[in-house]
Amino acid sequence: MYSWERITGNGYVYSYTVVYRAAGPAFEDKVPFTIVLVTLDEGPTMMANLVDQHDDGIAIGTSVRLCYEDINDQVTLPMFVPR
Amino acid sequence: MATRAVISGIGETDLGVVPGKTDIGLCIEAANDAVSDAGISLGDIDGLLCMAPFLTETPRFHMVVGESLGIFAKSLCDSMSMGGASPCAGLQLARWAVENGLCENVLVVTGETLRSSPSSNGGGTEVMAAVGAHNLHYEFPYGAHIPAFYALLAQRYLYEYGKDSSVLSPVAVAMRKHAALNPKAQMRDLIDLEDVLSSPLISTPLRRLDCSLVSDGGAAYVVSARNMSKDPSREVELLGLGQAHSSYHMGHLVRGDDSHDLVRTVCDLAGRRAFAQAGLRPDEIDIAQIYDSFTITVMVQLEDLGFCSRGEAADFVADGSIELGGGLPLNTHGGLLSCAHPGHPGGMLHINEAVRQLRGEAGERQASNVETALVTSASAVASNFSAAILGAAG
Repeated sequence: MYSWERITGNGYVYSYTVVYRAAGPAFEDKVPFTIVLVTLDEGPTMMANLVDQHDDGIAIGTSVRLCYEDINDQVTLPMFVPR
Repeated sequence: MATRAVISGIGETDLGVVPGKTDIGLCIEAANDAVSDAGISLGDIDGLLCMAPFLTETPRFHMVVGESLGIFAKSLCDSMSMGGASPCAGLQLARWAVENGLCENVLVVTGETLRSSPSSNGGGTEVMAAVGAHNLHYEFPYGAHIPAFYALLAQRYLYEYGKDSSVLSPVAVAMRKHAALNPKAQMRDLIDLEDVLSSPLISTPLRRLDCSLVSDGGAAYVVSARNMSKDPSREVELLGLGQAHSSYHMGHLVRGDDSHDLVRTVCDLAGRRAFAQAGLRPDEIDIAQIYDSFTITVMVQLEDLGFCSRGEAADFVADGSIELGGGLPLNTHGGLLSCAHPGHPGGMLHINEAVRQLRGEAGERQASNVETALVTSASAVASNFSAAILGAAG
């Protein structure tokens, strides 16, 4: 059974992709950007963006930590940065 | 003797860029084509299964299709909602209805204008986002679209088996080679490995030619009690059917269970059920019609289905095995990658082509000695699968 648990925010990149074709106008000024699947130290895997990282420096296995990015006044998204 | 269900008819509209049509209009065309192929009339249809279009949310789509066809009373009428995994799963549901005496002739039909609909905006990645945004709260805000989801799968696959993205390219080349033989296919100009690797990056490691098309089209098939059609020698046997479903969000696929993760999908379970029912092994399959939303989609399924070992799909597709004349001709119509991908009808085309091959009616692209065909339908990025093993009339 699942339960709520506090996490450290640390994890590693399980997989990643650098997106060159935007999913519509909302993302056009962001390409290229990186989507990651991050496996947290506690076990679960989640999707997010890797902040400001869209070059060959990304690799599966890279250690990352959680951060929060303000998209606008109303939306803040959990993302990751290399650790 | 118990009633046995067979595929009695198949139907298709024009495919590719088909402007000026509606979803319902394409359904009507495809349905009429399938019913006429079976040599029965619309009045003989007493079961109707549809797949509602991705872009236009028509309530009770199946009811509207039924009334548009003039089929009033039905003992089965519903829309399937497994996305791309629906077509082969529809065979299971239709067989259940026929073999339990609920229906004599079940029409399975779908039509979509993914490419030309005013709401598709030219059928680009926007459509791919709209129809494929897994979750508007947890995935779409990160800019994910369908190619990105499959790219995450592909990247992990290549990492686990120590390969680079060039191992995917032969799948695209083979599909185009087959499409070149199909007058209905949307993309018929031959391509080579270099073309694939120099096509624009969409979402690493996937390039444009690793991605399926965005198309218009309609497709249908009829499942009937055996000998209901005009020419029973053209009826195709349902030898084995199976489906398997895991979790929706990609993160939940990573840990999977003891035998599954992101690159080892539950397609193996769907396949195992179909093979067990058919009493056949992978090496006894003559042609395969594998859901090819992306080149990587084919690679993982070839492994899941046991056509090759884990990590060996690269070698399997590299030597021409999946081309006409090879050991396992795959998607002889050109697949979603080169024939057409109008959404739901795309997966129906795999079934229809298998039927044509088993009847020996595939014309210029007919494979030799086709007695058995395996078809898969897949959706929701490596999480919903249905499989069908079909046999020539026996």
